Amino acid sequence: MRQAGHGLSLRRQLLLWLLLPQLVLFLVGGALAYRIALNYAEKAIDQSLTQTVRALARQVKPVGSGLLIDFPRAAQDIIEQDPKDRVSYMVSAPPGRFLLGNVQLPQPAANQPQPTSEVRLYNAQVQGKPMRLALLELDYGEPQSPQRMRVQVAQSRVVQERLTAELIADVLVPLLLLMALLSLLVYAGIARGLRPLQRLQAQLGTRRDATLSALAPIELTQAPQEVHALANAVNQLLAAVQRSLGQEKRFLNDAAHQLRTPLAGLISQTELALTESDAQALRERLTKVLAGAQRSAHLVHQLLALARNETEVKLEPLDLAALAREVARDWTPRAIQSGVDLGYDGVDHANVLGQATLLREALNNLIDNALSYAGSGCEVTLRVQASDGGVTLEVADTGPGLSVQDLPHAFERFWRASDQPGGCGLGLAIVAEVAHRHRASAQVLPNAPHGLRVLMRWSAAD
Amino acid sequence: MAHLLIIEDDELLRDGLSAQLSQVGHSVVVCASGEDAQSRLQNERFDGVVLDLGLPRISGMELLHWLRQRLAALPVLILTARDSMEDRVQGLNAGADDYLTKPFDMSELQARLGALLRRSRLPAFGGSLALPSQAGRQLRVDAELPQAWLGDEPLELTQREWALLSLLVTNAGRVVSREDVLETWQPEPGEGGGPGTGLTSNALEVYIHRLRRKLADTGLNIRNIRGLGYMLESTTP
Repeated sequence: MRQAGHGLSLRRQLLLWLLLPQLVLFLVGGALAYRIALNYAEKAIDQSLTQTVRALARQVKPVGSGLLIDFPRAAQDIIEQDPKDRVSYMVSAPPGRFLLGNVQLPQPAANQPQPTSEVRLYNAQVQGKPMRLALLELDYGEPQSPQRMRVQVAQSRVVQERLTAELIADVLVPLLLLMALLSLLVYAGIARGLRPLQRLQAQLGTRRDATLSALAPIELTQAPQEVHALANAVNQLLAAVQRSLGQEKRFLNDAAHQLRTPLAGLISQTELALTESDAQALRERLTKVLAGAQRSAHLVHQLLALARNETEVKLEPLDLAALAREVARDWTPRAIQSGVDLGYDGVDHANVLGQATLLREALNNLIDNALSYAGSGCEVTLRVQASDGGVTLEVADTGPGLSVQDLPHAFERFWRASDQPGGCGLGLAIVAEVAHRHRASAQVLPNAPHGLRVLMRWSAAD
Repeated sequence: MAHLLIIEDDELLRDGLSAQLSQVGHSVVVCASGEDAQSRLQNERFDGVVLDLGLPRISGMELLHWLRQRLAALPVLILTARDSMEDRVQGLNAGADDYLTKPFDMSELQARLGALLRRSRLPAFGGSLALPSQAGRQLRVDAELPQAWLGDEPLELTQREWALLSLLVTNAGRVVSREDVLETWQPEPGEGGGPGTGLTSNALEVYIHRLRRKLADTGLNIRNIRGLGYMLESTTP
């Protein structure tokens, strides 16, 4: 899943988040193991030095005001057994004055008083080498002339380092191996986990053409739950797009066919007009040409109105009653011309959530329909009523109305109740669309005693 | 009647507009581009402009901006093939006085243009306006004086009658709502309160009735439009 320019790939992110903390944890663990090993090695050496210094002290026995040193050869051999790891020792009395030993050992650095019979452990350089030393001081002699002797043993710190190295080798090497193994497992696991996504990409990536087959649902087998959820979401979207694309295609197809008819009429009438020599007949032809052109213009306008309806609309509070009166005023000159009494009867103000352009379009269609189909001498009345149940907009006419069989078809696209010229069967479909966009309901009812009522109803919840 | 500039790049429509507007008595100048229109506007005085928004090079909107900086009061009616809300709002904000979406009926264009010209003449220039009527009894109003005549006879009008009449005349052929009327009314002497105070629909009806009587035999009628308002119309065919 490469995503150039969109941040790290999923694989890299997972590797980073899994391996980086793991590495840090291992490093911290290693450092800790090293410290612990060092500590244990030091403790072991210190213990052996303490034992040695006490043992050596026991061999030096005070006799009166002197010292009897009973240091058998065997004991000496044990102390000096390892030539590389020789234990150095020194007995001095008073402290600092060499009495016995195999090397001159340095005095402790600090001058704090050394409590008797207590072993003190410290580090110092002996002949240029780092050593660990144990020191023990003992009092002897008569109470009136007390004397003090000091016993010191030292061992090279090389031993400690060797011991540490051994301990570390025992702990760190398995740790490193474990880490390498874990990293491999993580890497393989991520690759395996991402495989369904790669399959998804492979399925979608090859769909480049804009045909309906490109919108077929994705089929995934053996994919984990999350990928299935993603695929399902994409499938739902694809299905919705496919449905809407199908509708658009059907609509476009219908629309193009509907346009053919007036265009065919236009062409034939114009051709006839061009061959006409009689002025009166020419005039009649041209009148028909004008009617055909107006019909085409009307159809295009209606199609555009429907197309505009397809896009998202933003609803804002507006006064439906004022809007209805405003649109009705615009239609008044045409109503007077057609001999229709167009009027408004309803509340002064009614607030709804709406989009003025779309509502104007719906009102235009309702009034246009009513004026066209009601005919001269009829009444067309706009009503806006507000109640607890919501707001209702109604356009009622006293024309012939629709038969009971025809009422259910009134909102269908391209359905026409009469063969009256000029109509294209989209007016009420537009009204229904506008109502749908406003989450309002649209309804046609017979008017009493005759005529048609078209209602748009906003429920109180809106 | 009026000196008009038409700016439209489509030859068929330009020709149709020019011929039809000339037929009803306007003197018409046509331009096919914004550049042409700019030079004409700099050298001639027009009463009104019909402007297509979809012009090549200098767009109609640019031309409208240019025009508004120089001739603030010139009535402009824009023609557009797009009828989305944004386009309309943009056009009206840029200073257009009215708009029409293509295709349109020529009668609609003439009505809108006529209303624009009447409105621009009456209040802005304080000019006088005459409505076509029966010979000898023509109604003429002058916003500056203010005074109305029927033929050569001055018409006696109260302040409210004058406000009502001038509103109806400037909007002749269109419906004037009750709210529109009440907005223009000042309190009569002896009445308290602000514009339209305490006016019932009956009171408005009384004034309409009086005006109707004064306009008798002029061929003009104030038509009552059910629930919508009033419209001044010509009863002569």
